[in-house]
Amino acid sequence: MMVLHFDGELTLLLLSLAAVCILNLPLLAVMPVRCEVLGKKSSIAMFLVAILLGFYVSGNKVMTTVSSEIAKIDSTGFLMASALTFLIMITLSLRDIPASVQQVMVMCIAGIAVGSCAAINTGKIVEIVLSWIGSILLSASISLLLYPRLRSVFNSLTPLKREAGMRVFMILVLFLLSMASGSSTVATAVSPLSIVTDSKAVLAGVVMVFAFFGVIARYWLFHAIPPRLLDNLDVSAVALVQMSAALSVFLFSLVGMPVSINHAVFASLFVVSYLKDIRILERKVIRNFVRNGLGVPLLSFIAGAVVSAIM
Amino acid sequence: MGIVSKLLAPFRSTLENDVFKALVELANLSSTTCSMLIRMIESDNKNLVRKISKNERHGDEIRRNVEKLLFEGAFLPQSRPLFFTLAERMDSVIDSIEDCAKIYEAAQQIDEEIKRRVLHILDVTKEACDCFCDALLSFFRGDERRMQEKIAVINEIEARIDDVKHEVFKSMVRSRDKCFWKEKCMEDFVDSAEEISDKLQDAADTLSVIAASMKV
Repeated sequence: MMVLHFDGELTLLLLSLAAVCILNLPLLAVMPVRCEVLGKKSSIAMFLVAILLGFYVSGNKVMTTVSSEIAKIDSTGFLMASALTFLIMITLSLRDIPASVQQVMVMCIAGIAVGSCAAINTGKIVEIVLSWIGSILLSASISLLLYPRLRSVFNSLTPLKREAGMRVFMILVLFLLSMASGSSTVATAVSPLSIVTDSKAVLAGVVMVFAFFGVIARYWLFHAIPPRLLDNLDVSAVALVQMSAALSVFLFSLVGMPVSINHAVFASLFVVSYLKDIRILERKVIRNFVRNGLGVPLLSFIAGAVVSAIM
Repeated sequence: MGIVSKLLAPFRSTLENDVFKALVELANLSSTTCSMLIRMIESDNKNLVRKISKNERHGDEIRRNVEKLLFEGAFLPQSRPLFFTLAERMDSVIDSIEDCAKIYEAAQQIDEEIKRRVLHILDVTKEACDCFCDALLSFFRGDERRMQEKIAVINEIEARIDDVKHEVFKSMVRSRDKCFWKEKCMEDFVDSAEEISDKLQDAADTLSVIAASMKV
């Protein structure tokens, strides 16, 4: 049975969720459109179906972890966490700093719990932080294992079959990546909403609506441009990078861990560019990645603690 | 297009197959047109120029068709400019064969020795055209080793033709005939015959780049 507290609270939650979806969801799932393998409509349809599937398969576990296993805070605390996530994500995106919704949300909740002297599950937070590192390592390992195999399979095909195979591979990657988004990013973004409603159908509806507007806005605003770093790689390598990240994130979400797709992509990109002997990731980029990976969660934690202490 | 066809579209290579057929046709056309030019010079039958021009126009049509297929979505976007260049370069081979035929048609008289040497150049060029057809087929069959072998043969032939051309020029300089227009016609004739293999080498280089760029 759906239980809603008051309109303002819900509106703010939905707004935060929308912003998070618009900023993050379709960031990587644009390659088939860019390569004209799928039309925008088919791509959006597949994206939404896969997001919903991912959300249903393992999103629930991630939602439970974020909403009830990190800390015992009330709905106002979650409202604050959601609004803070929204603000931090918007600010970082405007400054072109890649950040993970999962990291920001988890650390905001932890910060709010500390600031309001609520019970906090330190073991769970350590587990989540370890899973962030684990997902990076897993994504890199998957790339390391898959790259030589993928290369030998594709290179043994005739050019025409290779082209057809590449198209199918890109569609598969779009599906996997969208599923991973649904099971991790969307589930994390929706988790505060699970406090005010216990209906999975309502949550799924909200996910679909905001994922839809998110992907439309992303296409409209950014003309389906994938991250700049990936522009230096060929299509097959980009697809492999995304597949490794998607598999890694999906596997972690199956055990209820909210891990970042962006960070998994970065790790996989590092491995693939090393194997291809292409220097894509300069020292400055790696330094920024490490700095943001450490700095953004810390900033979110401090922001959460300060805001909840003031309020 | 029905929904089923739309869903299956990414799994098919219809457009790519059409591009492949058109490129093979263009390669065969360049070989046929080169044979026609050899026949024209051997038999001194200047009426064959019309047939060569017809082939040139047909080559243009095939090139336009390839370009249209690429615009319709054949191959992934990053490969398309290369296939576009390949079609243009293959078409320019036929254009240069036509140029050579027209220069021969316009020339009043060509020295027999020069004619003999140009025929030798064209014979070897025809061999290079056949090698290019073979390289193209090997590429589409996925036999990259054979393709590279054929491209190496084309490069070797082009180097040989260059040597022959320079020998012809040396003999022209040494000749006592100093009629400017006659010499000019002969020089243009030799140049145009040599240019065919140059264009063919450019096309072969593009094919090599395509093969490298399509590898994972």
